[in-house]
Amino acid sequence: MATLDPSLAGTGRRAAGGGPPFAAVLALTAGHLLLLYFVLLWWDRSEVASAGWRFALFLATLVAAFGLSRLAGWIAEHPAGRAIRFLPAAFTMILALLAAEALLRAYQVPAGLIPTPTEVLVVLWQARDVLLQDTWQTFVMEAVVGFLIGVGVALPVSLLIARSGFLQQGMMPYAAAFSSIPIPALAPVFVHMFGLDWQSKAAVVAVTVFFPVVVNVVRGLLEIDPRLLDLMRSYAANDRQVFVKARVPNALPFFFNALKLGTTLAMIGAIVGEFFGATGKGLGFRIQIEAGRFGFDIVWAAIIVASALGIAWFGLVAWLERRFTAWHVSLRE
Amino acid sequence: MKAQHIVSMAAATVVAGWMVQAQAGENLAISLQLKWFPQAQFAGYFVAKEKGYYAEEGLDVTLLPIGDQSPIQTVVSGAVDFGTTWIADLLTAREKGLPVVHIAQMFQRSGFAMVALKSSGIENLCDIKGRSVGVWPSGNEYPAVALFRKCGLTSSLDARVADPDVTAVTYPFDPALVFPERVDLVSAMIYNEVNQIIGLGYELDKLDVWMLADEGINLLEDLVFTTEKVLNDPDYKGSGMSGREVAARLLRASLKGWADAVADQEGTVDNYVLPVCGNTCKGSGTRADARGHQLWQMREIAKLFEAGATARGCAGYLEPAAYEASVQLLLDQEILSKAPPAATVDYGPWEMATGKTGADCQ
Repeated sequence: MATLDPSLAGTGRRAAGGGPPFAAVLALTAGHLLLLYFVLLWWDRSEVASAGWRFALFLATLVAAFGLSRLAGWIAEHPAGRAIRFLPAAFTMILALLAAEALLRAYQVPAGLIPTPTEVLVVLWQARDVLLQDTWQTFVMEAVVGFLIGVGVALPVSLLIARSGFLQQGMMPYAAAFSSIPIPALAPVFVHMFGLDWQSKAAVVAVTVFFPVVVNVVRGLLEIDPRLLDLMRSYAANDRQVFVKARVPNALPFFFNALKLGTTLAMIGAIVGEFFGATGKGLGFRIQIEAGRFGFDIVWAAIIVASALGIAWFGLVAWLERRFTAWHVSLRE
Repeated sequence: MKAQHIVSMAAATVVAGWMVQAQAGENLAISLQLKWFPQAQFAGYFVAKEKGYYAEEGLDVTLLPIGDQSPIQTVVSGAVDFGTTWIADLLTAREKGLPVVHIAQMFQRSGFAMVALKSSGIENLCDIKGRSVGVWPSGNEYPAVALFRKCGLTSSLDARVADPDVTAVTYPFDPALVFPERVDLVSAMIYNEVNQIIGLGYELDKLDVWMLADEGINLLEDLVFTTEKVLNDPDYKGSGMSGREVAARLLRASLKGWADAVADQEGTVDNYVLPVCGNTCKGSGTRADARGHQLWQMREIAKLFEAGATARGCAGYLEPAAYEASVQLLLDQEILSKAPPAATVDYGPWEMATGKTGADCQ
């Protein structure tokens, strides 16, 4: 109806303007409560729930999702604070976890295939000390160290390439080609070369981070608006000034793009590298050993830790990017 | 002319298609997941396939290699029908709710050894507090875990122990990567890695080799398993045979292959093992030659196969006492938290395959 008559759609929105749509909130609440009730009811049971229950759980999930989508639509159309705007995302997470918990329990899916979210959280807590040690190994010693080495070497190399026509012609095609080497192909080679400890994984990370940084920074230094160079020349700027005031700022957004890409590559490289041998610690080691023993609760706990770190690291680089390139077109309000 | 050509080609294609179908229709295509890459460890299955024992049973068996992964994962997923693995892998999977069923015990004794240099100062196998020990992941670490626990030691394999007594170093199956520089004690199968270590220049007189079976850790190894779903299928893959019947035929042919393999070990290696394996058959260093290494392996494998029930004419029979000993060990070392259900072992296929019962094997 609303699509046929725009004025009706308008009144509909206005009518809802008084407060959140009651039906949506009701559906959301009822769906969640039913799922929660079932989880508590089935907490200690180990038999498959009846077909009626399973149907009810699917229905509850759908109803809650429907309510959530209506509520999210309403929030999007109304001025609201940051906390309110965050609600749809938070409820999506809660609903997904609750529905997974209820359905996995209803069907009695073996923990050796998929553990329930609460089982994962319990193990995350129980294994926190070990996971922290694993994190130190994988994140700090392998991913961050390798990342810093890769970036640290890539920057001077990029400057050299940007200054040398020969290197641009002779090396850039290879840099671009190397940047697409799949990491699992490198890992076993590096494990043989540098041993089983963190050094081999840091080397994998350094190599995978190195090439995207070179490719991007060189582009950033060279792909500069010629009018900018003309302007600098008209100010009688010398080479150093042109470099510092025009080329470097121009390269910064490219550089940060490569860094953001690099954080993801570094986490992948460190974790996958550990699959080819490890010294008894590391998130990749933990995931491999526990997946082999069907300890998927710990596998998921390790995945949560790795994901949280990966997101935080990406966020940190994105924050630095906003601080240092706030003037850039893509970040201007 | 051209049109005729196309017609005849199309006809040929159709006929070829029928023939393929007819062949497939004769023999039921199933797959057996081996526990590792092709080598003498699986000689009996290669012999059964090449000598046509599977075909005689109406089966077209594909033998699948696997790397660093548990065979249980491929079998439970339904991608593969049967598999070979070790008892600890099977029982822990069962405890985690995966419906795997033991149907035959091919090796009657464990071939798992621990190796140290005599100069390492490890006099007693439990003398390893503060040391590094090489282990393999993917369910192959349980014998080592059982050893650590038996010695009262914690290890870095336990995700709940932050300050372990023993550092377990995982490595991709080549002992040269870690031994003896990175680890003081290394896991080694008597039929494979022990010979590789000797090949690296450490003769047996420089080594201490402990067979875990002699140290009270006789966790049974290569066994044949499948899932409850396969066994209970009344008409497996539309063949008219039940899943149990298919399992029995697979076992009958495999046991026949194994009997041949251990009876003529050199011929088996030359005619049935070496043709199917590439690099994975090689040893290390001075003993890199594939034939030499596989002959060593075949000899050692034969010892594991011919022990226990096999010596009493019951190859493939899982002796209840040996099974209970493995279960008890895993319970004592808290690798299992409760005894596995009775349905974990199904003697039916083996009895059907051999025409024997447990009473014949005492």
